[in-house]
Parts: sequence; structure tokens; C-alpha cells
Amino acid sequence: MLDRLIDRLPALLLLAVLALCAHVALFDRERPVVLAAAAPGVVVLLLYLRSGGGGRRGARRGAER
Amino acid sequence: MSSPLHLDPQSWRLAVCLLVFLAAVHAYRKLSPYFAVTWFGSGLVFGWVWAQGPVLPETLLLPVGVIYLAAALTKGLVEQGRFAGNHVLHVALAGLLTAVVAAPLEAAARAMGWPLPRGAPALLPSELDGPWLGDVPADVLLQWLLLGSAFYGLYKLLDHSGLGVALRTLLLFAAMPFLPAGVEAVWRALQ
Repeated sequence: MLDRLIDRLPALLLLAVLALCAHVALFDRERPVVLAAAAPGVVVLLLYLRSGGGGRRGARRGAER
Repeated sequence: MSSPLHLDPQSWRLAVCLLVFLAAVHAYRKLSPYFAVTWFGSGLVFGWVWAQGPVLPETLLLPVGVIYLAAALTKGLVEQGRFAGNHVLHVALAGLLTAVVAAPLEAAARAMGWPLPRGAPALLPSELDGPWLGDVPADVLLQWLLLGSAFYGLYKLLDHSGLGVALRTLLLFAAMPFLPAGVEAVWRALQ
């Protein structure tokens, strides 16, 4: 369980970064324009998940340096 | 809209420290203890030299955390199929993803007035700056791109140099204080 969570850490960390930006944009500063900085990150997150990088297979591939 | 959760500078510090801690856990478990120690150890040396102004935990740790996350995402995206083993592409994409990962963090920190490692001298036309970058100057993103490529490129170069582990580690740590000067030299050459 913990191992699977660690496998997915890069995707989860990127999601957390995007969530932090969204929180600042929508709640703390109420300036939705700040969200524009997160748009490329959303695309990368989707591409990463689609490539299987966030799963066990992807993590094993990534570990084979 | 309102939220019961208000993010203050302490939250920013906690977020950056957590990012780096969890990234180090990932490196330790999925790559190797050696990789985790050398990457984050040399990253601390780099962060110390890179940060301008007072050295705070968040300014010290942010570069190494962002670059690690970008490198991990790059591995997931290109270390497969026909792109496997293409080191130049890998380093270039790691730089690009460093800017992509740094952009939301820069935007949030700038909007809130949280401390950041350093700004970037003007290089690109000011027309590039604007709301489409979330009010982050394009120069700052270009600087992150250079930073990610330089840090990851140096690590990869030494990793594939064929040198012994002890010498490689020594060279990596010894090169870190000079890496900011290298990035600044590239910046001056671009101006």
C-alpha cells in the first residue's frame, strides 16, 4: 500500500502544487488569472498519467536508470 | 468565494519542506539511497549559493525539490520506447518541466508575497509578460528552465562519466557552488 503510494508520488506532488496555486488564485487572492500559470502543469500531469508514469510499471521503469 | 483555510508564509514554508521530504522519500525508495543523498545533498549546496537575500528553508529547498519533481516526471514521460536513453532530450525536457512545475509555485508565491530564491534579470521582451503566464515574468520561467537543465545535465554527465563513485560524488558537490555562476554566464551570453 505504502509502496504504491510512493510509486505515485510525482503525480501527487504535482497535483499538490497545482492545488496550492488554485487555492491562492481562487480563495486567498481571488485573482483567477494566477491559474494560468498552472495550465501547462495540468497538461503535463495528464500526459504523465496517460503514459503510465504514475503507476507501478512506470515507477519500475523510472527506477531502471 | 471564501475558504476556512488561509495560507500564510508558514504554510508556504511547510509546503516546500514537505515537497522536498516526499521527493527525497521517492528518490530513496525508487532509485537508491546513494542517489537520494547525492541529489538532495548537492541540491542543498546549490540552493545555499543560489538564494539571494536571507537564506530561509523555503528559498534553500525550493530549487532542488522543483528540479527533482521535474526530473521524475520527465522519466515517466520519455524513459520508454524510442526515447529511452536519449540523454540530450531527457535533460532538455527536464529543464522545460522545471519551468512548468515552478510556474504555479512562482505565481502563488508572488501573489501572496512569499519568499522565493531569486528573481531574474531582464532578458526577454516585456510583451511576453502578462496574464497568460499567471503574472510570472517570462524571464523567471526561462531562468528555471536553464536551472533545471544545468543541474540535471551536470548530474547526468557525472553519472555517465565512468568515474568512480567517490570521485563522482566529490566532483558533484565541488561543482555545485559554481553552477549558479554558470547559469549567470549563459544568461549574460543570451543578453
